[in-house]
Amino acid sequence: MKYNFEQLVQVKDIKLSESERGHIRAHLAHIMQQESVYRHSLLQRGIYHGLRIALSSFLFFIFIGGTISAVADNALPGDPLYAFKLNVNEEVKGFFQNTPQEKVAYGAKRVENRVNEIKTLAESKTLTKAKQATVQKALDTHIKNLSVDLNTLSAVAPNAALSATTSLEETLKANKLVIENTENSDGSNNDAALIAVDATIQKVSDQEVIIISKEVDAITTEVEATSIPDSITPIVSPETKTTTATPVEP
Amino acid sequence: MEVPESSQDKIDPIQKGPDIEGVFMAMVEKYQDAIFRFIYFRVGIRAIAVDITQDTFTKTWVYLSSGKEIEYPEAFLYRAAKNALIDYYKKSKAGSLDMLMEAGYDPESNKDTDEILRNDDIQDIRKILDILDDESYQIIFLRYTEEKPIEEIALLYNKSVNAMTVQIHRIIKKLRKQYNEI
Repeated sequence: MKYNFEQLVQVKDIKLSESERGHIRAHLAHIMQQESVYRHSLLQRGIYHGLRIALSSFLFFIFIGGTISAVADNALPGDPLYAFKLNVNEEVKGFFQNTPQEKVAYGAKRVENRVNEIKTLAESKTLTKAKQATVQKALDTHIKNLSVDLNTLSAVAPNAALSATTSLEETLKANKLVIENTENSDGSNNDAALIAVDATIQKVSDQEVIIISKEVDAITTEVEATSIPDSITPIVSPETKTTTATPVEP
Repeated sequence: MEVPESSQDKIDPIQKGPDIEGVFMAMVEKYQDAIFRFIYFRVGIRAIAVDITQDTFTKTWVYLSSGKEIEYPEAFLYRAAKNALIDYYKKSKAGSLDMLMEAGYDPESNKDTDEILRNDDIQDIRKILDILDDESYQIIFLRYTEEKPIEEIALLYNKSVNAMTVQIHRIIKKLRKQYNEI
């Protein structure tokens, strides 16, 4: 075997034949017709570039937001994404509730969710004062919003409003029962949970009372409106009239 | 360091505008033989080397037509040829002899291989070069077949002249060792 790289220079004599060149040229001409050149101006190129960046950023944020939102849906008080769940996930969902019935149902669902979270924490013996305070604060806000929605609903459909509060109260009481039956070594956690649930039940009951009072007021007003007006003189018998009209003889 | 002329011809389809087709065809005329040799020396079958050369230029045009610029056309073409060769080897693994015959290769005769490549000395050198990795193989080819100066090869591989000199020296040393073992 010979070893001399200088001989490789002979390879430089190898060239494409004319027919091979023609074949390549024809093929490239065909390809060039099919693949038109990107001949946009710098401005157009800049715009396309900007749009590409905007679109990819948008998709990126949608992806990240969707992922965070999905993870946050299962967050419990004390988790880093719990605030995201309360202030973004649930608020966005609430934005799409249009009718008073839907709003009340959604508000009641949120209250139920909070109480369920308390129940879950109590069951796992991880309910601390701080977590309870977080949920309590959220519950106060939910109840406040729910009261507004119930007021609106009770104006148009008092029975539906009453039914919603009754149903919510029953659910809360059922949850309370579960929390009461949850075993706890020191008992402190369950006490905290029960206090929170009791307070919520009380607020829902108050709301129920308000609706009932309003309903009673409405019925009373209706009854009064259909009763005899004071301005009309009552029919008096002729005898009575004579008695009252004739002065007594001395 | 003086930049070689062949590496200065930056191609920007946006700036060239309608002239881009002419610029591209000029590039084809200028480099097609070198790219063909580069591929042919590796695959050893003329018909297949023509196909891969054509594929290399087609991919280069597709790249340009998408609006991207080519800073060093020669370096770009050698890289594209290297990738086309890799694709060819992947396909030939899957299709083997049938595929080669479809491309025009006749295993019964060696008419598809030029006399120069059939030369015993060249064949021996090709056998020795087979132990090299792709980059070393290409560097030896560019240095000894295309007789490119080290400065230009260094630019093609984005390395300093000193680094390229050392690399060539090491490759030769490795080949010498291999040769002595044979």
